[in-house]
Amino acid sequence: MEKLIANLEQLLLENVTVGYDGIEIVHDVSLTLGNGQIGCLLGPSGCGKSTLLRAIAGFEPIMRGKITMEQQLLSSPTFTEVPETRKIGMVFQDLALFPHLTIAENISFGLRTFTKLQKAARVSELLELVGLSGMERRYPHSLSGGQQQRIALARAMAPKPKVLLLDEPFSGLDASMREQLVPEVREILLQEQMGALLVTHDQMEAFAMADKVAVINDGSIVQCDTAHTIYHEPNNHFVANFVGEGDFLSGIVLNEYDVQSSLGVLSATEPHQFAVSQSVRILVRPDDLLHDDDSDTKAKIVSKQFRGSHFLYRVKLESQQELYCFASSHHDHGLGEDIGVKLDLDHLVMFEEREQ
Amino acid sequence: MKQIFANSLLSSFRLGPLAMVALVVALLMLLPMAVIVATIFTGSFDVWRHLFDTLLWDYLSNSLLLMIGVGVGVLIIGVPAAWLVSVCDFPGRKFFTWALLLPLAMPAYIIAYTYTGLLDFAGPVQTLLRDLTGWQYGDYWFFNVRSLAGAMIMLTLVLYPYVYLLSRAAFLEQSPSILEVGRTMGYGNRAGMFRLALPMARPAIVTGLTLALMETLADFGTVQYFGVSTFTTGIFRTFYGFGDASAAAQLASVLLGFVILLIALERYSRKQAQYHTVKGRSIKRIRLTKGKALLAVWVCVFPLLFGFFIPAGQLLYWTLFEAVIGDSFASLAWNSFYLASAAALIAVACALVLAYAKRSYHRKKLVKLSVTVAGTGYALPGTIIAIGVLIAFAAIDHYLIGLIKQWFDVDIGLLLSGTLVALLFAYTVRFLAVSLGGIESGLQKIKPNVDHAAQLLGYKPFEVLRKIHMPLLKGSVLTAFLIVFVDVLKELPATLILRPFNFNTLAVRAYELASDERLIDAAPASLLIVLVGLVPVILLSRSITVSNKQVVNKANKK
Repeated sequence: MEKLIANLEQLLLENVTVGYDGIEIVHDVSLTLGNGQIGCLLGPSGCGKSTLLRAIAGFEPIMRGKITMEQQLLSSPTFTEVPETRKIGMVFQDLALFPHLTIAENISFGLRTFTKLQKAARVSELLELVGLSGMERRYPHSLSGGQQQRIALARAMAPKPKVLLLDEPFSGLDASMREQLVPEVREILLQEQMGALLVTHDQMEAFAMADKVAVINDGSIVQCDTAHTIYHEPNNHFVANFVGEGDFLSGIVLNEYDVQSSLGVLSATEPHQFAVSQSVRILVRPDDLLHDDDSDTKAKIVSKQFRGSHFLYRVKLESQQELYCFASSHHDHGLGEDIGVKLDLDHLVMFEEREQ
Repeated sequence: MKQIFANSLLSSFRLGPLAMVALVVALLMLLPMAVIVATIFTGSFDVWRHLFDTLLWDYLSNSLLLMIGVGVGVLIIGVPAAWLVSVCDFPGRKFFTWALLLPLAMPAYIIAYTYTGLLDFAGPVQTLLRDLTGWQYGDYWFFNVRSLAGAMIMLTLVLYPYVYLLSRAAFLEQSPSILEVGRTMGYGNRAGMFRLALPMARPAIVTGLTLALMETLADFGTVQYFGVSTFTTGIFRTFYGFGDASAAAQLASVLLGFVILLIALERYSRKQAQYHTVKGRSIKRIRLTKGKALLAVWVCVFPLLFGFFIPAGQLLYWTLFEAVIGDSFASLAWNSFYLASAAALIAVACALVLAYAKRSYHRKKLVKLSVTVAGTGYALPGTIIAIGVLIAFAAIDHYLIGLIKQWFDVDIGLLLSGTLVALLFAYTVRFLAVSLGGIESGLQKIKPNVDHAAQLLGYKPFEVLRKIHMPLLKGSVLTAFLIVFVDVLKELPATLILRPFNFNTLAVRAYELASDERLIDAAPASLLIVLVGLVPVILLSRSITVSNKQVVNKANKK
C-alpha cells in the first residue's frame, strides 16, 4: 500500500483489519498521517471508512495489524487503548453536542485539568477562532446548523488532541453552507497546526480539505495520493469512475507509447505496461476534451448544461462514442450542432478492456 | 465479540452481567403468563367442565358485548373531539385540548360507585325527580346504572381519552396540504374529513381503540360492582368461590387468548401508522361560528362533564360534607403510598437495566427480544397476572418448604405467597412497560455519539453516565416513576388477590366500602386516588400542548 508522505509520523496504521460478528469490514489498511497534515478517506457509503475511523478513535477493536501514534501503541488484536486516554479528537456526523450544557460548557467539557479562568480563556479563544464569539451562554439547539458545526469543531479541538478525526462532518449542511465552511475549517486546522483525518463520500469536500486523499472501496484503500493525482491519474477503474465525471474511449495499443483511438493516435509520456494490439479503455475527463472551432474532429452536441462560467456539453463522435466536453460559456452552441473538439490529455490513463 | 463490547460504553461494568440480568428480568416477567398457559395442559378439568356447562357463555357474551359497547362509545366520543380540537377553531379549544384527557385520572370502578350513588333510588337525581313530580316508588321507570349498559357507559366515559389522544396526534401530523389538495379537487371540508383525514388516521384510531378495549377486558372493579359476569369477575369468583386456582387459571387462559388478539391488532395497526410528517407549516384551522361552534363546544363539554367534573364534584361533596373518614385512613394512605413508591422504584430500576442492556447490546437479537418480551405485561389484565403469580409463588414456596424440612427438619412456612413480595412482583410485571417506554425514549435521545464524544474528551464510562446521562435522563426517570406510582395506586384486582392478610390500600378500601353499600364513605379514598391520578394527566397534557418553540424560548432565557 502506498503511504501518505510525512516527515514526522503522527498516526500510523499498519495492515489494519476491522470487523465484527466475524465479518471483516476493513481489510489490511496501511496509512500514515504526518504532523499537521490533513488526510481524507474518500469512498462510497458502506465502504468501511467510518468503521476505520471508529477503530482509530478506539470504539472498535482491530482484528489484525496495529495502530500507533507517535510510536505509542493504540490498538492491536490483543490490546485496545480506551478512547478516553487516546488524545484523539473527533467531530461526529450528528455533531453530538451535549444538549444540556451551554456552548461554553460544551467546549470546556474536555478541559478537565483547567481552572475556571483557564477554561474561560480557552473557550473564548476557540469561539473567536470559529467566528462565534459571545455565544458562550447559548444552548446548542438555539444555534443554526453551521454554528453547531463550528461548536463541535471547537469542542473537539479544545483539549489540543494530537489528531482530529472528522466523520462526514459537513453532510448535514446545505450545499452553500458547506462550500463556505469547508475551506474555513481547513484554515482553522492549519492555523492550529492540527493533524486531521476526514471521512467523506463527497469528492469536492475531500479535494477542498485534504493534502492527501485515500480512496477506499470495499474496505480496502485502492489509491492514496494528492487530489490532483487521484483525479487525473487514477490507478484503478473504480477510482476513475468514482472520482469526477469522465468517459472511457476504446483504443488499441500500437506500441509501448502509442494507442490508436477514435480521436487519433494518443501518446503516453512514459512507456505503459500493455501488450501490442491489446484492447484498452482510455479515461477522458470533461476538461481533457476541449472545444476548438479549428479542429478537424467534429462531434454532434447531444445535450448541454449551463454551469455559469462554462458549458458542459455531451457530444457524440463519428464513432458513436459519447464524451463530455468543457467549453467556455462564450461558446454557446445549439443542440444537434456539429462542433470541433480536440483531445488534450496530460496523462494517458488506460485500463484493460473489460466489463464496465 | 467480547472485545467489541469491551469498547462500548459501560464496559467497565463488565457488560456480560448486565445482559444476563436483563435476560433474567425478562424471564421473570414472562413467569405469570407462562404459568397460566401451562394450566391449559395440566391440572384437573372438573371445575372447568362445570364452568363450561354453566357460566362460561355468560362470561363470553358479556365480555364481548361490553367490548362492542365500549368500542363504539369511545369512537363516537374520541374521534370527533380529536378532529374538532386539532383541525377546527372554536371558543375554548385550547382548554378542551388538554382537559379532554382529565377522565384518564378517574379509575373506572370509582366512576361506577359515584354514578351509582348519584343515580340510585335514594340518590340526588331520583330524589329531585320525585320532589318535582310527586311520584312514588314504583310509579316510574328509571335507568339502572348497575347493568351491562351502565358498565359500557362508565368504561366509555373514562377510556375515550385513549382514542382521543392517538387520533388527535394523527390528525395533527397530517400535512395541511392534504386537505388543501382535496379542496382543489372539489372536496369541501366535510368531504375531505371523511375521504382523506379519517382514512389516513385510521391506524392511529384503531391503536387507541385496542388500548381502550384492553382496559375494558382488564376491568374488574366496575363489572364486579355492577354484578355483570365477565371473564375477570369469573376468574375472581372461581378462585375465591371454588378455591380452585388452576380452574381460575384455565379461565384466565381463555381471556389471555382475547388479549393476545388485541395485542396483535395493536401491533399491526401501529405498523400501519407510518406518518410522513411535514414540518414548517401549521394547520390553518377551520373557524367555526354560531351554531357550529356551539355544537363543537357541546361535543367537547359532554365527555368532560360526565367523565370528570360531575363524578369528581360528587366525590368532593361527599368527602367534605357527608363521609365518615375513619381512623385507619392515614394508615391506608401510607400503605398505598409506600407500596406504590416501592413498586415504582423496582419498575424504574428494571427498566433502566433493560434499556441500558438494549443500548449496549444493540447487535444482539436475544437482548432486544427479551426487552420486548418484558414489556408485554401492560396488556395483561391484573387478574391474570395475580393468578399467575399466586400459582407460581405457591409452587416455589412448597418446593422450598419441602427442601428445608428435608435438610433442617424445620417448618418455615410460606416465604413468598401472601407477602408484599408477591404483590410488588405482580405490579412490576404489569407496569414495567410503562416505565420502560419512558426511559427507552429518553435514552434514545442520547445518541451514541454523545457518549463517544465525551469519551474522546477524556471521560471514563462511569463519568459519562454521571455527567451526561444522569442530567439528560433525570426527567424521563422521574416521569416513569410518577406514572408507575399512580398506576399502582389505582390498581385493584391484583391487589385484592395478592395482598397480605389484613393489608389494605386506598383502592381496596374504596372497593370494600362500596361493596358494603357505603358509597359515601368510599369517597375520601376515591377522591385521593383521583387527585393523585391527575399528576400524570397534567404531565401528559403539558407535553402535548407545549410546542417546540416555547421550549427553545425557555432554554434561551436560562
